Amino acid sequence: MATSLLASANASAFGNLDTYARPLLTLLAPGHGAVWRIGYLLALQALAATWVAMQREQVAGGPFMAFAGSLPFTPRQRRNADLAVLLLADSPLLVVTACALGLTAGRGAPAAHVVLLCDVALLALVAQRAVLERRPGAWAGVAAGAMLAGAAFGTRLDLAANLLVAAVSTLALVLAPRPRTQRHARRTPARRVKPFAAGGHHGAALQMSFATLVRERRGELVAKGLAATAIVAAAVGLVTLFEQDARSFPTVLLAEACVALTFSGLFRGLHLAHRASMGYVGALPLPAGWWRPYDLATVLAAALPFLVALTLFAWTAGTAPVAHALAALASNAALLCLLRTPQLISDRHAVVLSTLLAGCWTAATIARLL
Amino acid sequence: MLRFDNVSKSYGSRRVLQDRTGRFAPGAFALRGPNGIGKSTLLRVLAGVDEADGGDIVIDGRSLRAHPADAKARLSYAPDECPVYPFVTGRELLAFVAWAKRCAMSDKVGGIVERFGLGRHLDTRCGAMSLGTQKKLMLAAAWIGDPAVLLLDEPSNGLDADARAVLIDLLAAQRETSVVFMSTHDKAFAEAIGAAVVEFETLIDN
Repeated sequence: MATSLLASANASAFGNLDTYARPLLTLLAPGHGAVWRIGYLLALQALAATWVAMQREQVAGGPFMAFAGSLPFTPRQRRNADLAVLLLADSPLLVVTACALGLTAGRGAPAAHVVLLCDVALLALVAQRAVLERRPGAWAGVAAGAMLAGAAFGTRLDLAANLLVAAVSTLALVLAPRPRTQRHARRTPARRVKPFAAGGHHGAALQMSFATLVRERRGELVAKGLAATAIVAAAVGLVTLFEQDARSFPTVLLAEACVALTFSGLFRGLHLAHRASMGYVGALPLPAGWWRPYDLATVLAAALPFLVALTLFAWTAGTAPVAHALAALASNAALLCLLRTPQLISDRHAVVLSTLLAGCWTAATIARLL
Repeated sequence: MLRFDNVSKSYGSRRVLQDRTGRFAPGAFALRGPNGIGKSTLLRVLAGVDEADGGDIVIDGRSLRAHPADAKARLSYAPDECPVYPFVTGRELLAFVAWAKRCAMSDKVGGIVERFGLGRHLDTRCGAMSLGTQKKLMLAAAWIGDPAVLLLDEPSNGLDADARAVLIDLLAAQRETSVVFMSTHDKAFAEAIGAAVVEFETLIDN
C-alpha cells in the first residue's frame, strides 16, 4: 500500500513499477553489506509472517476446516488446498514480488538475483506455514536460509547457495510435515492450582476487555501497532525533513490524530465480544454498557505509547513548547475516546464518520494550539 | 422467592411466551415440556438476559423491571450452552462473576470447584474447554453470591456420572434455602433431587 502511494502519475509505467517493487529491489543493491542484507531478509520474513498471522483465522478456514479434517482427504491434498488459500491471501505481496522479478529479469540481471527474489517468496511461504501450523521450529530453517542467501550475495557461490535455499524451501512446502505424535512430548511440570483471587475488584472486569484484545484480537492489535509505528516513523521523518520549521507541530498533531483513528477500530471488536457474551452476562447485576470504561481504558493503554512517543518527540525536537505538546496529547487521547461512538453507531459508515470526527477535532486542535 | 405474572415475550412476529405466571417458594422445580415450547426462553426472561415484553418478575422480593441490579444480585443463571468470552480462563470468569455480584469468592464455591474436578481446568480458556467442563464452570459460578433463585437450563446435559452425582447432591441441599427452577428432560435427575415437576403448559394464571 505504501509503495502504491509513492507511485506517481507523472512517472512512466516502468518507473512506477520500479517504485512499487522497491522494497524487494533494494535487496539487490550492491552497496549493502552481508549483515544488512541478512537483517533485511529476516525483516521481510517477519513481515510475511505478521501478514499471515493477522489473517490466521480466515486463512485457516474456521470451524468448517475442523469438520473437513474428518473427511478422507490425503495430507497432500490438504496441503495443496492450504497453499492455494495462502497464495490468495498473499496476492498483494506476490504482485510486488512478480514486479520485482519481471524488472530484474528484464534488465538482464545475474541469474543469482532472480533466484534470490524467488528465495524471498519461498522462504516467506515457509515462514507463513510455520505460523499457521504453529511450528516454531521451522523458523530456525527460515532464518538459516535467509542467512545463507544474504551471506552468499555477490560471491562466487551466490547462485549455488540461492538454488540450494530455493530447493530446500520448495521441499519444505511440498513435503507433509512430521506428524505431531512422533515428536518428543515435552514434560511439563505439574502446576499447582492457584488460590482464587478475591472478587470485587475492577481488574476482573478490565480483564474481559484486555483478554479479548490480547488473546482474541491479537492479530488486529499487532496490525494497529505496526500501522501506528509507520505513522510515528513517517511523522519523525517529515519533521526531520522540515528541519523543525512551522509545519512540524501540525505534522505531529496530524500523526497523533491518525494514531487515534487507527486504534479506534479496536472498539468494534471489543463491543462485538461483549455483545456475544450477553446470553450469560446479561443475567449478572451489571448496568447496560458496563464495559464502556474498561474498553476505553484498554484501547487507550494500547494507543498511549505511540501518542506519548510523538509528544516526547515534539517536545525534544523543539517543535512545540511542553505545554502545547501535552495539550495535544490530552486532545488526541480525548479524540480516541470520542471515536468509540462513530465506530459503533453504524456498520457501514463507521470509517467515514470516524474520519470526519477526527478531521474536525484535529482542525479545532490546530486552531487552538497554533 | 420467585414470582412472575403474565410474562410475555415475542421475537419479531413470533410469540414465544404468552401470559406465563408462576409462584415458587424455596424448593426444587423441574420445568417440563416438549422441545421448542419456550422453556429456555422463559428462563432467559426470568434471568433478565432477554427483557420481557410484558408482565412482572420478582426475585426474592425485588422487581426485575424496577430494580434489575438488585434482583439479578439475588439470582444465578446457568444456560444450556456457554455463551461467555471464549478467551478468558475459568479462573478469570469466576473472578468476573464475583466482581459483578460485588462479593468475594467463598470457600463454598472453592469447594464446589474442587468437587467438580475443575481445579486443573481453571487456567484453561473457556473456548478451549470441553462442553462438559464449560457446563461445570457455569454451574460452579451459579453458587457465587449465595443466590436466592437458581435458574438452570438443562443442568445435567453433558455431565459425566461423577459430576452429575455432585450436582444432585448440591441441588438437593440448595433447595432447602433457595428456589431451584430448572428445565430438564432428565426424569431420573429431577427425581434424585426431589424436584416437583412443573409442566410448562400449567404456568398460567388460574
